[in-house]
Amino acid sequence: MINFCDMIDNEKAMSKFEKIYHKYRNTMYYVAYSLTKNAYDAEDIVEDSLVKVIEMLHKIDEDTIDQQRCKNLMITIAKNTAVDFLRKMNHEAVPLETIEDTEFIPLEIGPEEMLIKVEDYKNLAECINKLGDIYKDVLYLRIFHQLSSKEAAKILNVSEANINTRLKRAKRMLYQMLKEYD
Amino acid sequence: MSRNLDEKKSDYLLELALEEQLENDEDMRHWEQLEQENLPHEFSEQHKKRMRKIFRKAKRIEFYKEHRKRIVKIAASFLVIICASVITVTQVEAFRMPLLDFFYQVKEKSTFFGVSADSERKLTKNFQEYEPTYKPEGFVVTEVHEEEKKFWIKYENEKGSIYRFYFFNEVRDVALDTEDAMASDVEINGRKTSIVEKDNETRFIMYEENSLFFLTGMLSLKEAYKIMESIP
Repeated sequence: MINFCDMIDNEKAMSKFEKIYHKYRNTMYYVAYSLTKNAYDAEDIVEDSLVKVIEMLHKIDEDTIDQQRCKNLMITIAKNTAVDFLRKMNHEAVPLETIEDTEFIPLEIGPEEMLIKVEDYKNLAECINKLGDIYKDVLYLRIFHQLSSKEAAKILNVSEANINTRLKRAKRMLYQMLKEYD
Repeated sequence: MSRNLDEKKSDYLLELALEEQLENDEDMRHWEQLEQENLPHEFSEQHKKRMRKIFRKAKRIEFYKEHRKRIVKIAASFLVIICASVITVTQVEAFRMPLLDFFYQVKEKSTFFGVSADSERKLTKNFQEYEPTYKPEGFVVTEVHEEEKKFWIKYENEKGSIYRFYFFNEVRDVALDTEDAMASDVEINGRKTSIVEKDNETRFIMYEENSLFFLTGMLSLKEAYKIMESIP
């Protein structure tokens, strides 16, 4: 028999989502503020970002909330939500999305050659650092946070096809860079 | 080694490298520094208000995700029972007539229930603000009991399922038997709520300051949740 009054008084009460909010609201706010320079807009962006977080709560392990992994995800979401917000605010024409060209990197690289080998590992982190933001974000969302193309597409506000293309392109770029070390 | 395995190995190496890179990532350092250089932001009242709504949405989604498997299992069990009943009725001649009579009688009973003006609130003005606005389909109010600081309402459907909703204006120690039961805690409309499922009964106990709401009866989790959520 459990006395529920006692149980409720003592229980941790905060849900996974609330923990994320309390832990990262300031981080997300300052990310948004640094881009918008407006406190009210930054608060709006924090809210929009958190709505996106709800959709992928099941992918966030409660034990990792305090880790860099979770922080990176929150920053990526806030940053991209802010960028999207600014684009809308500035009434920038959003062109009809076209699938990004995958073929600007030499075609002679076959898919089997794009695989990363153990001996390449020591230079890999450095190569990742050299990638542009759009590719780094996709690598983190798809490979590191294990999000689906659909979930990553929502965060970056692009189509699923573009997520897959960017991922493919990021891997090709890494391969090219790693080849230069040989 | 198959291509698939090679690809997984490659992605795993990439994941490890991404983790390593994250520790030295310049962007991450920049955002962290920005946060450290500034005082914690005092969020506006409007933001807090909007966040309460977002919290409720998150709770709902977390709750459904947590209990989705159970709800699907219960729904599947009901479907199997209904299918089995239909097959029995149509295949076993000896049972057909008595069962059809039974359903016919139940149908007549429901007509009787339907006569009461059920859309109206059943409580006096003292308690109307605490009466749930949601009622599962087929249920009607069959009893209402009011006292100075408490009330309860009994609901029934034509299948004989019953649930009761209690309200106490003063919090009292309530103990629920959780032996061999499924128990969990959630927040509904910002109110702490404990859920216990035992012996085909669902019980919700919800607190608000000094008041207590208690729901018990033969209801699905989903319906019980909706009832509690509909308390203004």
